[in-house]
Amino acid sequence: MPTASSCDHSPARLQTGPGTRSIVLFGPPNAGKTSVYNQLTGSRFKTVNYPGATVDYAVGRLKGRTDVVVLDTPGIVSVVPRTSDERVAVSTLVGVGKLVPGASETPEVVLTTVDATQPTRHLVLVRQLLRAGIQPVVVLTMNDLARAKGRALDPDLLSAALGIPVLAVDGRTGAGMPALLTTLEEQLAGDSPVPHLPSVVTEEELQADFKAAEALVGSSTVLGQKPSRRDASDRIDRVALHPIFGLVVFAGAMSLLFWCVFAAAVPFQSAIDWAVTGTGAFLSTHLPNAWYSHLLVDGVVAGVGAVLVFVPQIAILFFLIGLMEDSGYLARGAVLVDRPLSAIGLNGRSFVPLLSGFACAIPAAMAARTIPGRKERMLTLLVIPLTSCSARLPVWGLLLAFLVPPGHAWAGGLALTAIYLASLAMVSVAAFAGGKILGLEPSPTGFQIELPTWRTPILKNALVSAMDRTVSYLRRAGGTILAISILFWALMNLPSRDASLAWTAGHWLTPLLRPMGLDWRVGISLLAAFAAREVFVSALAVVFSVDGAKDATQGILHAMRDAVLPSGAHIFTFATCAGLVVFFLIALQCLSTVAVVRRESGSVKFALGQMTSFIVVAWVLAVAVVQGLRLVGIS
Amino acid sequence: MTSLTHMNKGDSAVIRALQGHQELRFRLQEMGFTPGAQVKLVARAAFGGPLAFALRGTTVALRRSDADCIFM
Repeated sequence: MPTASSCDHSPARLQTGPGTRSIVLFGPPNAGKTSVYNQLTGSRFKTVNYPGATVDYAVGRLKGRTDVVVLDTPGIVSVVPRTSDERVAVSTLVGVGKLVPGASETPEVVLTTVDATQPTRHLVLVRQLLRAGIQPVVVLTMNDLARAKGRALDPDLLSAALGIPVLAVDGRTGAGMPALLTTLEEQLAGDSPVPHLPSVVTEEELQADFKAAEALVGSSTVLGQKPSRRDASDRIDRVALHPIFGLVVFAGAMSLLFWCVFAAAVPFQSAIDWAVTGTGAFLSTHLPNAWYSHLLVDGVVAGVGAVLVFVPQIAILFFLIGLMEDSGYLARGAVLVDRPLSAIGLNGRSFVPLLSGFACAIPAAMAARTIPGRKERMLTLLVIPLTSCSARLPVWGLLLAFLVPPGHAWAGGLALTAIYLASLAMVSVAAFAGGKILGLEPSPTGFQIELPTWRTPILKNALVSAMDRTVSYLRRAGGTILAISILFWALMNLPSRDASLAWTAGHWLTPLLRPMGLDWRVGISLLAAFAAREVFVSALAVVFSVDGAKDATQGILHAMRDAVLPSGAHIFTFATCAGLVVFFLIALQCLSTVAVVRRESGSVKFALGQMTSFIVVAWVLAVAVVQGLRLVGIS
Repeated sequence: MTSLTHMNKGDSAVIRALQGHQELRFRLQEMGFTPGAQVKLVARAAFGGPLAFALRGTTVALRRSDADCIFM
């Protein structure tokens, strides 16, 4: 999934002082930029096989140097940016000083990559840079592949023709790096010229650039005679994009993906459950019977444990998306779904953001930067929160226990599939309705995507990236969940258990909750879920005072089964749980998502309008489901 | 002049001209679909979905309506 190259590489964490010099990596997508970045910085930043995988810039230090930083930027095909990830890339050419404290406004060195297997398109960008007054250092990547194809390029000939340094580097093995580092040292000593970036490139200029690049490639190619590797990749595409087999493979891949998320996670979940239960039991037998023991066992262990159980599913989803990304399949997926997505106003480019949405809406919203058309991008941002993100998994797990007869694993699987399909249906309806309501013009730019060469995914890459993403998810969500669990326990127990603060707050919500068949305790848990949806489960665990010593999920279930309204009617019935499922499917309860959508859409009105309308629609539909079910005699 | 959508799988052709919205025309040429470029149709997605072309050492998929703006 194209994630922001953020977290550990954000400039905020990199201490830089005055006199810092910068190297900006600027170049086309899928040209090995990130591999070169990793070589230069010693970072283990994963390289992915999807155009637009880097949607934000990354900053690292040049290996062994404290005064030189390297920036990796989103892939770009022209110095005139058209999408917002492209704007990020171009902005680094003139505004490094704003991103890296202590650096001059323009980078000392611009490093651009040219993939030797497809040099013409990439050399066009080099020519545009030269015209803009930038003298880039060209890194020729994949020349080994080009040689295998019988079409290697001679870096010296290219360098002589262009008048700038051209060095062949193998991003994976690091061959050619010493020479590159020497060149960089020389260039860093020079000054940083101010570029004159054009606001437009005319069609004539572009065509002339292509002609010149073709001539350049012609005069710098060292011909050999070998079969093309691209042909093998094209042969796979003939199946992967085939009208029938392509769809069969796609349906199979998606089914397998979600099946794995649920089935393969079971043993890990059992292990975590066992550990949480053990911890609770151990603590409650060894701690004195005091308030802090209850806080620890009922608040912290029960609350955090109920959420921890779902981490394996999240990790597996990240891992599998990583594998598909690495192989090049994600770009093919985008091609296969372009037609259906365009029918609802989206674009094939919406595929990766939407798929990522099933893990987490935040990286998904950032991935939407790669969508060129404004309408398609805004609509994608609109519907991303409707994809059933992993934070909802704990909620589904809990509610399904009331919707599906116990002891029928297949029925649970079926119900979960239904929820995911309902989530996709919501996406379609919202995209369609949103397009009408927002009145956005369809953009004329259509859909184009580069299909990177197929490659065998590297297991280690996918594992590392899944680990990184899961840890960063835990870091972001974990603290919140812990804090909310503690705060929640306090609200439930202060000033006293019978007249708690939560009781007061929850009662204000009663008019809204009664039609959903719920009481103040569920209401307050719903409120807590605004911090993060999965908090709903831990909040319920606290609100119905689950003993942390019991099995993490079973404990909540027992307490919920026994919970009754003042009238004596059970709270958690088939009808109310179905209503809650509908509510959680639609309501935009994640404040982090609202913040990211605001930033990505550039509109407070859009983000707040989205949140409000989703919550209102969610409540109305949830009430309709509960009351409708009751009308037909299902309580 | 016929558009690239009329190509059969495995066919090669040379691009002669582009038509349509200026922004789209430009985007397509940036991707490498310039007059004089040689393309080969690799695959067609189902239900009138995008077409995948091999050109300039890589493969690019285009929506059918985009390919309809490129003439051979």
